[in-house]
Amino acid sequence: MYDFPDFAAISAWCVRLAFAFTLLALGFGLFFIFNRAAKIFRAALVFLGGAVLFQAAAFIALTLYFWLVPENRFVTPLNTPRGMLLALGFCVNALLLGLELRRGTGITFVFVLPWSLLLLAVPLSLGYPGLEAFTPQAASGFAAAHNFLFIVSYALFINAFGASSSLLLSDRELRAHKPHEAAFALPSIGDMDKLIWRLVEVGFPLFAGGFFLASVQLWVKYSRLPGLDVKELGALATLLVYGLYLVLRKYGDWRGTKAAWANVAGFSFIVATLLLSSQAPKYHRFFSF
Amino acid sequence: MELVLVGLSHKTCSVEVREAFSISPERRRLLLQAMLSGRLAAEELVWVSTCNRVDLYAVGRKKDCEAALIGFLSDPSLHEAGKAGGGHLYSKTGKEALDHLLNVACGLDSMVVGENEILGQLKDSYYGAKSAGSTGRLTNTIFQRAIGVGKHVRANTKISQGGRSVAFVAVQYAGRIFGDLDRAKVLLLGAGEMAEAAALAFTEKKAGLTVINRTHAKGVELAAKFSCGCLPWEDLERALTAADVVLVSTSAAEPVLTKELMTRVMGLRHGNPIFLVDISVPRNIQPEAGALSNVYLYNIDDLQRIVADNLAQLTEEINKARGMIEAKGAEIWDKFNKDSSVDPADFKEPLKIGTRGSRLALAQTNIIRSLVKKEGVETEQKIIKTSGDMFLEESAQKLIASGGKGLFVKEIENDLLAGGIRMAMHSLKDLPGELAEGLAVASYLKREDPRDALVARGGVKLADLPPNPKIASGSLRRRYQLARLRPDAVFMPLRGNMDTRLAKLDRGDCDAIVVAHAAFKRLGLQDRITQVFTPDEVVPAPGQGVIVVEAGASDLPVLRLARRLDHPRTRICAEAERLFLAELGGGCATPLGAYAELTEEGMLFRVFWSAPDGRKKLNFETYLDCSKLSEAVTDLVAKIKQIV
Repeated sequence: MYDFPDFAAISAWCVRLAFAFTLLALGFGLFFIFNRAAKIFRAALVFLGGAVLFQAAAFIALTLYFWLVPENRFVTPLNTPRGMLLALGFCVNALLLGLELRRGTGITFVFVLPWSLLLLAVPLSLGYPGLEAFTPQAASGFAAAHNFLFIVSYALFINAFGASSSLLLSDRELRAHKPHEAAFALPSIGDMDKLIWRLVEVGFPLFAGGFFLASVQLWVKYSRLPGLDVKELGALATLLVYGLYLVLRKYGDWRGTKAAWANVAGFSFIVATLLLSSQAPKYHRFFSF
Repeated sequence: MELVLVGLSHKTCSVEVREAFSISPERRRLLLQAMLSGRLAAEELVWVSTCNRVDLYAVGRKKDCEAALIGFLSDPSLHEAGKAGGGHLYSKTGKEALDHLLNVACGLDSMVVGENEILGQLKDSYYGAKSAGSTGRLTNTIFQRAIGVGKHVRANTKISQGGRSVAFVAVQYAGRIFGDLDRAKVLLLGAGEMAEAAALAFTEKKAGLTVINRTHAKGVELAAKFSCGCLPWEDLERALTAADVVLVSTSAAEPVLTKELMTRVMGLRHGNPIFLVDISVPRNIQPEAGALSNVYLYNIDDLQRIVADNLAQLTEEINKARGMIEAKGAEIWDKFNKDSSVDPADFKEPLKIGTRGSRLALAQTNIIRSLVKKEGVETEQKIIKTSGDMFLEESAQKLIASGGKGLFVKEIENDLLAGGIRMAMHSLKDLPGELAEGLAVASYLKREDPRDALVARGGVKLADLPPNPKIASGSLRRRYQLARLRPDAVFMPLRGNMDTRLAKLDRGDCDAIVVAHAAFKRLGLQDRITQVFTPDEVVPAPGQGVIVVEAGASDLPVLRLARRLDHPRTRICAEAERLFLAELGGGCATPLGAYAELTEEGMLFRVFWSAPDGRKKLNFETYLDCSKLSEAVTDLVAKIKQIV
């Protein structure tokens, strides 16, 4: 018989390292606001890149851990709380890294990484589950698909929230008529407005797709439509807020600060949904592992 | 040798005069020509020519160089009548020149203090000079350090932050809202000096400008000034809907832009942010309009307060920057001097210089000894017999078979490593590509004439030799190239020292011999030369005519001493030739000529290559960028390898 490595320990260590690297990236990001040296920004990017790698490694190790049980083979742990949080944290950081490599604003670190740290802190505090076969729900490909779509769209919305925070801060500083000099490090309002729109424009269809798949699953399994529990209501509210934002951006005047506030509202619904969903009725309880 | 600066700037003359002195491509060519011909008395040169200054930094003998630079810049033939003359020029030397450069790099000498453009201009100037091969150790050091200091001061002070005028602040704050302004649309409402200055500042950022005025004729006149369009007053609402930045400066007693109007406009704009700049007194924009979502309103008081705060901060920052420059300048200057100075205490005993025992080697060693003596260090020479000396009378084939190039160097290097000598003299031609570990080329002396020369019986030139002349030359490179000039020539081997070679000619064993011109000059035998071949006729061997000083890589006192003998232009050419030889992989058997020459167009690199049997030959010349020599040589070698 083969002697398998301790994947659980490997995953746990990767999460710890990812947390440390994310913290360092946040530190350098904060430092960059006051000391706009290119090498500080590069250092933040390097640490963020390291965090992304460790997060990917943590997820892979978690997957391999679950696959030690033959029945779990080739099923992703996306339907488990730990797996979902690791995947979400990875997507948030990877997207931020991509945006910063492309745009180099150097500042959205400060608004996004605290949430990323929170997403990493939760698995750190959770104990590792025992090795058992997945329940049919946890093994469901349908559930994995809708979770995947939600994870990617949440990552986009969290980054949009980061851009919104930056925009609102810039707005506040400009209205002060003598902005603090650190505010000059913030990207322009126009750039952040465009970024928010692009992120939501991509995230909304993914979220809507995930919601649709979840609705189909609900109908097939329980013969009802979404709406009965906190998570479903939260997702519906999130869908409505972002949908409304997109429509009113195109046909109304939801740009600049209005767009930012809409995204803050959408992000609040996401946080509320994630926090309160563990209290949900049995249909949406997180599985035992 | 000293650092010399001569120049003029916006502080000493007007823009018309500066225009007349600027270094155009033609003037750059003349400047390089003057330097290469020795008229500037400068070994190194960098020119900085911007709209606000023309500065020439040179390294040379202080008085001669200074006078020559002033003479060049003041040359009436280069200027329109009335614009020449030294009245506008300043000159500085030594550390003062360095301090000036540092101040320029940090933007303290600019029209707008702390501006960033000058740093890029300095970099371009430095790399332009480096590409042309006119920089050397001192200019490389000070310019690289100055660029670093410029970045450091800007990163650690606020001299380049903050607007200094209402127009600049307006542009800066518009950038905070819209990012790049090249797609921004600016609407100029009314007229007035400040508004027009602000409009100009925006157009300099490539923003699109439109004018609107109650009096259409005035608006058209103003639009003509900015080469932009003018809209009738009735289209105000439509114009506001399209504009990103609105500069308002009318003489109206009542607000022109009200909250109601702006509410409608924002609806039509779909909430896109707008920046309103009210430069009028009394105000022409209702203050309540500024409270609307995505409307940013700044009036003249706000802008002037920001400017005043920035200027107050600037004085403090300038003082801080000056302190940093002084500290860095002293550090750079002291370090450079320390690295270049010779402390007699390091040479309590006479410095032993190792050399071969041939007449030429001794003559070359004497050159080094006299230069070293000028630095206040006594020397003595140690003659070392090398393997090459033992094979000197043998054929070239035997020499190559025994180890080739390194034969004239190995024993000297061994003695250098053993500590028997502290400095070694070599002809660069004898130096192998890789030196022994622990040794380094400490300096390249000023190159003697690298060309090949003919010594013929009867004092005739090559063309005048009798039919089927017997020409003695041990070098296939010389033979194959001369064969082009005299296809009927019969070539014979030639080995031994100069006396042996001349004896062969005098005995009548041959009609002419071909030698290195530099060797004959150093031996005082130039009267025997009957013809000197141009590099186009016979491309010299790589490193021909160059004497190098080799020393221990960690023997700092000797390295510092040797640096003072180094000739920057020879170094760069010799390094290019050596690099080429190393890349091409030419051994002793390969007939190869490579000659780098600094011209006013840059480094001209001539190549002659032939297969050992002479069946295939190649003549090639190209210009190389001295600032990227390694890549340029690699590309050249790749091209040659493709052809051959």
